[in-house]
Amino acid sequence: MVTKEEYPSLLETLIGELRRGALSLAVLSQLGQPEYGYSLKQQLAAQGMDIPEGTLYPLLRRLEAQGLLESEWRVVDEARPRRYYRISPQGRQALGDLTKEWQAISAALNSLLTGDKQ
Amino acid sequence: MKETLIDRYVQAVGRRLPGKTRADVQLELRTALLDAAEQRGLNPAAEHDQAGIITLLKEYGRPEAMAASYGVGHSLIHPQVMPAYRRVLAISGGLITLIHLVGLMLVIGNTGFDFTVGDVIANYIKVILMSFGAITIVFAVIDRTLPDLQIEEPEWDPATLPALLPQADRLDYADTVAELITQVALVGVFTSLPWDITLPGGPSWALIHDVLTRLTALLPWFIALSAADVIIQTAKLFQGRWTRFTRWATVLQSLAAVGLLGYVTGQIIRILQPAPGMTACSPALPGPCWWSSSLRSALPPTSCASCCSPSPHRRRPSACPRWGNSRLCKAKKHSFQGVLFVRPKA
Repeated sequence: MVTKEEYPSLLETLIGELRRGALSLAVLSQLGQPEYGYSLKQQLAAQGMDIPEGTLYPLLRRLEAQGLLESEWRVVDEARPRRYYRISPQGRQALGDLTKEWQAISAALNSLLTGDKQ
Repeated sequence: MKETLIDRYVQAVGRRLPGKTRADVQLELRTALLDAAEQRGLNPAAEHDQAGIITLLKEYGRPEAMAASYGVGHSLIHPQVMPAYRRVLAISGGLITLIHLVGLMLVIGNTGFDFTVGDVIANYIKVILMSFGAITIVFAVIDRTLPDLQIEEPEWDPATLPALLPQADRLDYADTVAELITQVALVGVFTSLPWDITLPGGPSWALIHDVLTRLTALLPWFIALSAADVIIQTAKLFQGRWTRFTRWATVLQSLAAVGLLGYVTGQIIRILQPAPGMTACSPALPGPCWWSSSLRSALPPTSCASCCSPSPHRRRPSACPRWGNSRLCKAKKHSFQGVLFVRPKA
């Protein structure tokens, strides 16, 4: 049983767990066009999905290693080369499948939550 | 160019990453931090913007946590408890060393030095490994069985990040770890080798036996050199950089290794030197003749200790008048061996 003081920390953990599974989907959905890490973060944050840098950059690496993203370095400013990521053909397929899955889960959860309220 | 906190942060993250991805991740992280600073209107090099840069770095989190988030696998020790884990390892390592030294002095004082250096080092390494292993298991168990454990950590201050290292002082972690593992393995091999190697009797084994005897006599030095390298590599890993101590220690250790290698080579050359007044032949060894001064004591030079089988492919040396005279050996009830000892013709 968590105390009143411990509750915020518990809630933070639960929200983190809830969001974690959706992050890959969110990232894949935004990389139809090449984006570098920071611009992607801004883009996601603007749509209400703020991902900490410590999560986003490793996630991009992981998705690339899994073959769902492709990346390339572009040097516009010599002092600040940027790595641009975009979705790969395999990533597009995964995005389609994950979207379907997400919608099914979302519908089921909505139904459960609505039923709970009644 | 002025060293900035962002550079120091990127360096601190990089030193915890595997060499394969380090440069790539560091470059990307640096660009991201510079972008974020720019977005907030901060100049990383400006003195008056340091508070803002510190806030930004705190949002990114401790370097060890950031580096751990790039980890491909699950770490045994969670980054959150890593500082405590390292502290406990350092303290226990120091205590074990101290206890060992005191114990060693007491034993020597009471009973004298009636053990080998290899035994002492082997025992020390065994105790260190067992202790570190036990500590690691305890930390891993704590981490897994108490997932909600809230470890109070002092607030991280990016201003305490270590300064940028000159290129020459930067460690190659992969190389250092590889060398450490190799040297620990070598110490293990050296200390587990039998100190008294028993080979089959007979003159054909005498040369090998002689070489091995001389090499095993040098085993404590091999162990000491490897143990010294273990200490140097461990110090490098703990300090996270090359220091004056590790540089000098490496130079001395390398000189000692070269000296030992030279000594071993000298010993082998000495063994293979022709002995005055005698010659040894062996068809099993390359060349028509093989001499060894070290075997003088092993066999009486005038005896037909063994016989070489005559080989059409080998030159029959004039110095070996009894070459192939196996009948003589049989007559003297010597078993057939690969080395012939004879006194050369006057």
